[in-house]
Amino acid sequence: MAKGTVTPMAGMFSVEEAQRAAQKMQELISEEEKRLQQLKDFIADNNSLINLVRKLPDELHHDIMVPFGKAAFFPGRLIHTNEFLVLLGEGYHAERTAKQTIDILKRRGKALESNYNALKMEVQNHKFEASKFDDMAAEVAEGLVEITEEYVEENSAEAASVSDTPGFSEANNMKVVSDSDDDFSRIMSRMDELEREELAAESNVECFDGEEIGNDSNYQHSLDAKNLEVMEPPQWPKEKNAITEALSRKSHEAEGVTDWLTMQLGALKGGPAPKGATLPGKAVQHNAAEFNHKEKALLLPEVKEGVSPVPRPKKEVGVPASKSETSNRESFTGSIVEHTSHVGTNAFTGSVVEHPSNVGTNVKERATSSSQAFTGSIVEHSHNLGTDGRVEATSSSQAHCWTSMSNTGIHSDDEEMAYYWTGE
Amino acid sequence: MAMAISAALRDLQQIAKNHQVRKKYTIQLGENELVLKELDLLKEDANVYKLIGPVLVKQDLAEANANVRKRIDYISAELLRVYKRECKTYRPGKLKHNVVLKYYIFSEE
Repeated sequence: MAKGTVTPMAGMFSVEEAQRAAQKMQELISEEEKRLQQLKDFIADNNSLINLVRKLPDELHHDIMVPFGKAAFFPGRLIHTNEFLVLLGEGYHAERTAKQTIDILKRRGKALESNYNALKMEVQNHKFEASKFDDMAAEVAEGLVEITEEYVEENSAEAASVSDTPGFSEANNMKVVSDSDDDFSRIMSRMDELEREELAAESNVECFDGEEIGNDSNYQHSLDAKNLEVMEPPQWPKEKNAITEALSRKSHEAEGVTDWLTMQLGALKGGPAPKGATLPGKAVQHNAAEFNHKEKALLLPEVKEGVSPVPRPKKEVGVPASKSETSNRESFTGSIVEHTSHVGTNAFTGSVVEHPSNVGTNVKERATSSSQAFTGSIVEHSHNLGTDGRVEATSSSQAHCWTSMSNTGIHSDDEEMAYYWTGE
Repeated sequence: MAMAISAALRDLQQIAKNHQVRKKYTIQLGENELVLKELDLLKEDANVYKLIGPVLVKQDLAEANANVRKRIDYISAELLRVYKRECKTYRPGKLKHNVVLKYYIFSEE
């Protein structure tokens, strides 16, 4: 049965902390932007200077108003128009012609540009981190809950996101699924159907029918007990009807599913028993359930051990949300493990929150992509990211986030400190 | 606990100061390397002047080169010394301890 703990996210990182972190990031960003603006001004000045130096040797001498003291000018002449004393740095000047001066200035301009570009990338990264912090703060403020369970396929995370934390009963699951997000559940069920179709095509239909029905409709079952029993199959018939249309619509997805299946099967065969797996998003659980069921149907004896190992140690401190949730996923099935190696979204998918309106679109757009669709669908944040590449970048920066949180108190970026902090 | 925190705070301030010094040295080093690069591009007979106070003093190109190189060596040695000193005084074990306290302080603010 479902046994698990419900941890309000507010308990893990307090609202103030998250907000403060976001704030510090903002300060850092504003400072960097000032510096960026300064560099831009330098570059502009350099360019105008290059133009001036280029024009000066056009005449033998120029008639100008010469500044005299603080508040006076007198008319004069600028002679030796091709001789320039260029400041090289550290008090050193060199006499150069106009052309040579322009060369020097151009080299300086190039150095400035490279500095500017590097700083720009930095600012972008920080902005990204800041947005992540903001999201986290929002989540915490909403009173979202992180639900951890012992390797039970659940999708009760949705319930948590509504700020209630009912028990992990199957009925609740079903209710949550149907209540929280119609779009999402519909899409998920279609995907499930698709997967089932795939499996049916590959394996025996018997297994499929006999054991998968209840599992699919109800996402709870205890692998340890090798309990493949079905829960309520209320959704089953409806799903079945939708199979054909789902199939035709999502043929592309099916392909990804097949690949997944093979991967998972391979992983399952070698997977040791899991320990205390925790469990994040609903969709993932859902999918994991799917895979689990199928695999079980295929390799019953191995399924027992099928729970994937938790490769990464769970760290409660430091990177709580992202890491523990990553391990959740891994503990689920071999499939998830495989997945995590591809996708950096694990860092995010830990967030159980699903803004319903977004989730639907997420799933849709991800449905067309590769196997990442499944875990990707949970990531509501990812729609901010846009591309997978960025998602992966985030996962690393997520881990980095906590270190930078501790560092923003003092503006010295001590690498050793960062290292030791993550080691905590 | 309060004493430990204040000690850690002092340590952190020291580290911050060290970082300032290191930053300054790094910037100077960068500038000197730039100067050296430009000096290398000059012809043998080019005039080099050094600004000492309000006076522009004509310098020999070879002499200027030598001076700048010596300065670069000096600054990099200083940098290394400061860095080593920081590593020694704030050794890993202590650093870790400091980091924990720093986070504690940070969260208390």
